[in-house]
Amino acid sequence: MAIEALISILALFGIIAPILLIIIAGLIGGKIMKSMQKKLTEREQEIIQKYGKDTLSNLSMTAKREVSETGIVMASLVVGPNYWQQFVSKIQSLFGGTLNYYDQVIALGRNEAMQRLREAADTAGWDEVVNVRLETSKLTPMVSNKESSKAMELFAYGTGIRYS
Amino acid sequence: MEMNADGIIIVNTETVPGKTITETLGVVTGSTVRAKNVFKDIGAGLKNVVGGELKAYTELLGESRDEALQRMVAEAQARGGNAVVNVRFATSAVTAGAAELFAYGTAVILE
Repeated sequence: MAIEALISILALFGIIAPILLIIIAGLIGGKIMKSMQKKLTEREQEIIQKYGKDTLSNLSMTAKREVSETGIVMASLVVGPNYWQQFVSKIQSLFGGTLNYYDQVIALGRNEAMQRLREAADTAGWDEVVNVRLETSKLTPMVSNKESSKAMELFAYGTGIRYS
Repeated sequence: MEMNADGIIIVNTETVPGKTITETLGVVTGSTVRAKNVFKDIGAGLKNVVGGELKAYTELLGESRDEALQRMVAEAQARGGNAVVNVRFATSAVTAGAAELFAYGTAVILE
């Protein structure tokens, strides 16, 4: 009897735990994303105020000014949607259409990667970054049949230039 | 991140602004295959519950990419080049839990 009770408790826990995690993710995850977004906007403003414009461009060359030095700049980050977002997206994907949460997470991650590129260029002392390229790649989970982590890497790189 | 420390100029534009290319030395590549640390994987899995940035992976991929770039630079130096132009990066998942980070470009001699 005691063993049976233990098994049923464990089984109940097995059902409840994922639901609990999804609820926790729904409660905390939104706040984490909001605070990321807020910090990001502040940092973007800082760079714009310092240089008077966005330092990134994906043209191969911008101004016709004399360039003294060049070098590569890279920045990246790995982000993943939380359990709540994954859960909602899974249901949404049954009906098709836009997966709002994935949209939001990728957009936020990409903006963050671009901001890190601006900051990396700032610390390296480049006046501008040209020929910016953006890349997205999926990270595979450690156990291939189990969808343990839905993480993606957002990577930005470009050529930093310094005007003479 | 400044990679000009060893005198090699790396750019992802076709030409180096303000300098002329005298000779091209062919395509140079550098790659590295890295697997994730199991313990970091567990940590990242936990972070994945609430979402946001997974710092352990960001660092891992950043380090690997630097290494790939260094290997590419070493090959360019071995060929006698002093710059690598039109650098591109690629990432591919070769097997579960491992990623290949790949950098390639054209080695050139400047001026």
